[in-house]
Amino acid sequence: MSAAKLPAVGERLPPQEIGPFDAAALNRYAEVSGDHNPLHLDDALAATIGFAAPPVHGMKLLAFFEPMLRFWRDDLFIAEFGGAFVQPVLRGQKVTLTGRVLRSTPQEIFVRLYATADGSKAPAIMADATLRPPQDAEGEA
Amino acid sequence: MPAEAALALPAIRVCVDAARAAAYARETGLPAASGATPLAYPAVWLTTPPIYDAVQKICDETDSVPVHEQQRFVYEAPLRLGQDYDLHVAMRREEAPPRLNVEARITTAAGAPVARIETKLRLVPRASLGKGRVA
Repeated sequence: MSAAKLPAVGERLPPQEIGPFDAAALNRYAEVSGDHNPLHLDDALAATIGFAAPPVHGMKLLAFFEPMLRFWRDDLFIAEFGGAFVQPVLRGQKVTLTGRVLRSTPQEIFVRLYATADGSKAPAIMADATLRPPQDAEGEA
Repeated sequence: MPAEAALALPAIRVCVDAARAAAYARETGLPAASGATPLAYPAVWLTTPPIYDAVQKICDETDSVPVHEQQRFVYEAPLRLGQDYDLHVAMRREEAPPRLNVEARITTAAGAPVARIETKLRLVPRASLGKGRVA
């Protein structure tokens, strides 16, 4: 194990606010990702499904956890991250990213992450990440 | 593709395009000039024709639309800008509820494992669209 100080169980990551994302931002994400699902881009289609505005690509929102994690602890290797898209974030909504350390050992740190849209009590994304401390020398765990 | 059946695609050669990775970084809050590949960048490969076409075929067969339900990235090593990789994609359908699981192993061209991506798509019947929200 390196000299890097392990995060404490219960430590909260600095919350991050992202968005609101406008139509241009959703179009740019569609272009770069290749995800041109019209549900994210077409107001009329979104309305037929019952949304007041097109939902933001869940993948775009999930990806924003990476800068949050790097801002918090850039010395740790992000070995795994993922999440479930629980409910949509609509175009024009702000989103708050939060996180908390649930497990911390010299081998790995497990962090629970949430993305919650303004005005909502339930998270839009329930995510998690597993990070690893740098290994300084062979044989050290 | 019948329910509960698995489908493996032939290996797909992909590359971490530096310009596209920088654009992806910009759109997801990362510094574009960091020189690192965004962890979620492999999501762009899921829209490449062999994978997209296979998903679309299953959706056509089931008269459904895919809704992204879960996504996961597991890394053994970072993806390098400009580097070629092979994607080994397997898909499996579930019946209840209707779902398509897509798993892609990313290896170096020499076959060394680099990462794994797991995607769960809920297959929502087209007939149900417009009768309420699909999350």
